[in-house]
Amino acid sequence: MTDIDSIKNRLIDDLWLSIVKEGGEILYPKRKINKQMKMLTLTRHNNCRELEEFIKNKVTKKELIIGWNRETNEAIRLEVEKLESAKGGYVYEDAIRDSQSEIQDDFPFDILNLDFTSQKPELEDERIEKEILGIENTIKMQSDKGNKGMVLIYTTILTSTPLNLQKIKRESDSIWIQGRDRLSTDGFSSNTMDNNNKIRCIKGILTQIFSKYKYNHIVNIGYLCLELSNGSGDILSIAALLKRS
Amino acid sequence: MVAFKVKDLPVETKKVHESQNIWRRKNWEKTLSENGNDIEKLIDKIRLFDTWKTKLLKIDVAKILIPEIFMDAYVSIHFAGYALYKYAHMSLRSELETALRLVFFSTHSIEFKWWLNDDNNDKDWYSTTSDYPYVWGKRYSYFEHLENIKSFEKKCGDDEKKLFGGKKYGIKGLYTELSEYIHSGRGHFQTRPDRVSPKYDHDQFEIWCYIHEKVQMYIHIMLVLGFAEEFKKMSSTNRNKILDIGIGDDYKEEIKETLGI
Repeated sequence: MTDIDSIKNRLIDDLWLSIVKEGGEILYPKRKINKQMKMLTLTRHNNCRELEEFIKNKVTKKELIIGWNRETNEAIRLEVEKLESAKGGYVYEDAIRDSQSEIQDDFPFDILNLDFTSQKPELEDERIEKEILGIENTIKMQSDKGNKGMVLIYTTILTSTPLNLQKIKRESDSIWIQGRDRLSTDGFSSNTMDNNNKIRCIKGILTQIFSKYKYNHIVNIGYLCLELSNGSGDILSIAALLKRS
Repeated sequence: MVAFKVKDLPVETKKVHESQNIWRRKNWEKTLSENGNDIEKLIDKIRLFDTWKTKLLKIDVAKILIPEIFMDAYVSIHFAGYALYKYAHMSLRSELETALRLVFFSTHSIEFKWWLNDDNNDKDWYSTTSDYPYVWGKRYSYFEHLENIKSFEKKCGDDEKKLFGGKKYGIKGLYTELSEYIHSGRGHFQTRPDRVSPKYDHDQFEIWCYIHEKVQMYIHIMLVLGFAEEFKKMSSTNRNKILDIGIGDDYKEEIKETLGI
């Protein structure tokens, strides 16, 4: 098992499963056993234990899951081996920005597992900035399609590259929502290379984005940050259970 | 859903099912065990279409045609793996034609809609005689007029190296060769006098593999020249992958010179 596989197992066991189960209880209290939550998951066929765990715990079922991978070859493998439906061949963060994207018709989802580490990310500058913008576009889509509450999981690789907070602010502010505040980066240290600072920044920015789309009720939010054994960085996963006001 | 049970199949269907299973498995395993590395190289070239797909996301025609280009290349491997060489080549011609259409339609959105919504197979708008079988007009002259292609062809020099240099060479030559499989030209049959079922053939595989590689290379060249601005805006990692893996040494320098990168 590679390092990233064992880390993903820990994320599932110590963070994702509990919050997804709580999501089932809070969002669908009348569904006593089978919660039947619709899920979008960024994943790959050889490291997708979340599928079996979520299905085993009756929070979702195979027919309600759409897998995504940026490589068509991998999406095909997911579809023929693990799921009823998989999409991809596009970088998710780019695809979700497109108003004609093929994924749009599938929204809204109850669970969004945006695990960017599963997409063979290129560790280049402004990767996290693009991912955060992808999350904002995803939440906007959820909101536009009338979603009332969701579990959102964001997983990424933190390296020593500093965050470009101004870029995040500029891009986020360009998605204008009437009556909503612009993103504030006050109090966050830009050019930070320290991962604890980065986590604080990312959590703060995500919280503001939740609020921008009226997901004001954060029922639960948690995170885990685990070091990759090859020293190339840390895996950060933030999981939130959100309801709209 | 009705469970699939071989024993419940009608007699002749059952026979076909069982024999197909056997020859497909035999051919697939033989092909992969002898040529796994060659196929891996082809897959690496095909995977690059995902990079194009993301980069050309805003272009409607690309969104529809690039997945089709990918699938033709992918299925061609499938057919070749089963020793269905004629159909493996047919997929490649379909792939090449779709890629050329993509470059043409990317600047002809009205024609694209006509073509896409043409329920009656009404080709009047582009095909008035047999000289005009393609949506882009007579033979390949449309492409030869495109600035980037014109400049690229000049840098290539000899007809043998040009994309549209002579009947036997480049895209023209490849297209003609692949069409032989569509029209079952002499020597381009699926069947062999000595056999009744498809069987792995090393020489046939090598011919197909060589042609497959060329088709992917020419398609990447056409996309780079047809979508030069988008190509230039790619990350250097992705650009280099397309140049090194997709196109390779035969044309890499001419591309760089043409685009000034």
